[in-house]
Amino acid sequence: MLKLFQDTGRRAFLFADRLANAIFGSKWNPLYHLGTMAFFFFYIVLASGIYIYIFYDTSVVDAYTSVEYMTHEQWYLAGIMRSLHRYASDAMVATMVLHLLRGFFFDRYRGARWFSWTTGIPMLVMVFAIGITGYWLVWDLLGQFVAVRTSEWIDWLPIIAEPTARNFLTNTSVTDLFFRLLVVIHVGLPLMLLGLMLLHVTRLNDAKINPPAGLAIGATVALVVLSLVKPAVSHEAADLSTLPTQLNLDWFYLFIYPLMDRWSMGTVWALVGGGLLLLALLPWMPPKRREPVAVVYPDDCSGCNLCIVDCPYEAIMLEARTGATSAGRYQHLPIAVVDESKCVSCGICTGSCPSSTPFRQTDEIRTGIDMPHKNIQDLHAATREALTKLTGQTKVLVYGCDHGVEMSKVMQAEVAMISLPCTGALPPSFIVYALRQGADGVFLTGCRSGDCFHRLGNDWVDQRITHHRKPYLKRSVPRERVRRYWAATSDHKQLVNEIESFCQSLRDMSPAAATAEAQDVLPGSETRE
Amino acid sequence: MQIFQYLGQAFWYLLFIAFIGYFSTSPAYTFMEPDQSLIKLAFNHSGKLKLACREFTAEEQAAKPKHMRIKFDCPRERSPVYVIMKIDGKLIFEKTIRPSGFAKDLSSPLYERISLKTGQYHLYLGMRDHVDTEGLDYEFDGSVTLAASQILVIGFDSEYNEFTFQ
Repeated sequence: MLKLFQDTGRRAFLFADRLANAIFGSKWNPLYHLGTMAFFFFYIVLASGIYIYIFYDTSVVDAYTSVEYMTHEQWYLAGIMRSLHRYASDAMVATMVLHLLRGFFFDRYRGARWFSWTTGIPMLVMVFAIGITGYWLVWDLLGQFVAVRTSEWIDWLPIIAEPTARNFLTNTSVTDLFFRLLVVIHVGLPLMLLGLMLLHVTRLNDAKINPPAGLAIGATVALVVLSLVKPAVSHEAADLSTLPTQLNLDWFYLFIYPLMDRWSMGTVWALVGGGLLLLALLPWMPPKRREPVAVVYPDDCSGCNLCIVDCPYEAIMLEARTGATSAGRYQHLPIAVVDESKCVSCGICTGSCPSSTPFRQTDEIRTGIDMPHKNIQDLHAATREALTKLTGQTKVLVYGCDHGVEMSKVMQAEVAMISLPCTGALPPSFIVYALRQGADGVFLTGCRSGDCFHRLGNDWVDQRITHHRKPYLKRSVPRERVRRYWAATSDHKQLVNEIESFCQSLRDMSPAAATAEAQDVLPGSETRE
Repeated sequence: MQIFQYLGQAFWYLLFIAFIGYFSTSPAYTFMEPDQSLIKLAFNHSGKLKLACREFTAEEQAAKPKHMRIKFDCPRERSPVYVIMKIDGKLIFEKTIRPSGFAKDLSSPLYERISLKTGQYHLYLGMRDHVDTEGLDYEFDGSVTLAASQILVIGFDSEYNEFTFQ
């Protein structure tokens, strides 16, 4: 049932992703930047909040009039800021929820990723608390409704002796002091939220907290347009002797209030508490089956730092050698150490290790850091076996990843396939090796660009091939013989077409040029440039 | 090709602001119909002390250390407060509220909402704040008129021992 739900959600996202990729390109696809967009909307909320706070009066009597002044008298600036404050808050909730759903549907919340998932839950609670107290502060009929119903909801808990709802019995019950306390909460909680937001991304390498500039500008312009077309306005001033009848609810924040009117307060508490508890426990329902984590081989680890900067989850550190590791040729150099609790067994570290090369004089191919269940020796053997299977007119070796298109769906006569835990686990020297051993071309595929299951795998591959990241793919490798195509699980048709197009481009090359190019691909030191 | 991308982006942002703009205020929610009104029965009344003070016996005094000998034993526990409400003769609400506090020595808080259609009603309210009382200590029996969308707050003035209407 859960799997079916996830599969359906994933398919929906993949469909929307493809559409957004066509419109924005993968670098600006808003669906790949949901988390950073939520951050960005928070910045807008913060900036607009600081501005409107200048004009906001924190007394019960004048709070409403000060908001009305901003909305109507100074509509051209404070009014727009007020609207931006509201709409950016709504957009933040929308992007946060989509970000959460995406993480869930794509199974990016279990295993070592539990930390980011779990720290997101108090953020969710905090965002709602900030939004709800924000509505109180306007002190219109909606603010009155929210204040009274929230108090009644809290009073249901048997921990408060005196009902807090008694603070809202009559117009004289609400004091300036209470109102100022609300202001402190509404201003203080965002500061705590900012801390949580930073904690949320602590375990991620190269964590993005800002969306691409183009996307940020586009979203800001869109919100300003919305603020001009439909400025945020208040209801009538709060009057505790009058019952609010019809309310224009902000459904992003206040969707729970109609439930309070239809169900008992206890049921709503059970729904909220149970929902949050379920979210918190989700990473262990069921727990992710753990693959063996990366192992460091002291004799082959030179402490070069490449695996540390490439690990997407900051699971590797550099430490001084002690005990058994302090012998051998690298004894005076530091050594990489894997934090088992953070390692997700993606193998990207193996792909980044300069020692991961098939061009070895020894029979046993070893490297500095490797995956015990799919090691470099296995990759070497798989590559050799795949190359022997290539008997067609053109010989193309495809390296794919376990999270991209299923390799069996793209089988063709002229290609052989090898699937890795992540394409980022492929050392560039294997591309050279495949070409030297008779392949006409090497095709690399994996998750869609910008949506790597292991966050950064396909980015690292791109950068290694374009000579922007170590270990580089040797410059002398003819780039027309190496093609990359990043495809999601649903893109197998496009992938097949792309492979066919690659085969055709290889067939079109003159045999003389091909031979000359192949001779340029030298074995040996290609990963140490 | 690029022009289609720009148009696509414009359409995407349009959808985005339409979604945010619409759900930030719509659909409107009807909390109460215009012909509804609300009675809030809310007060914080301290019940009478459950037991009266009594003088310690000589034996009891002798059993205590000298510095702890006091003349009277005055238990702090208060009586629960019993409240009943009837509208047009129909029982609407009946509750016994225990005193708050670990020693049950604080007041008995009450907060209840009763939603009614606009109109005139015969209201009966009764309260008992001592365990030894038979019947009720305080009563109100009269009519109230509820206007459209009115919130009538019924409290209890402990100084004058009477129900208040605001």
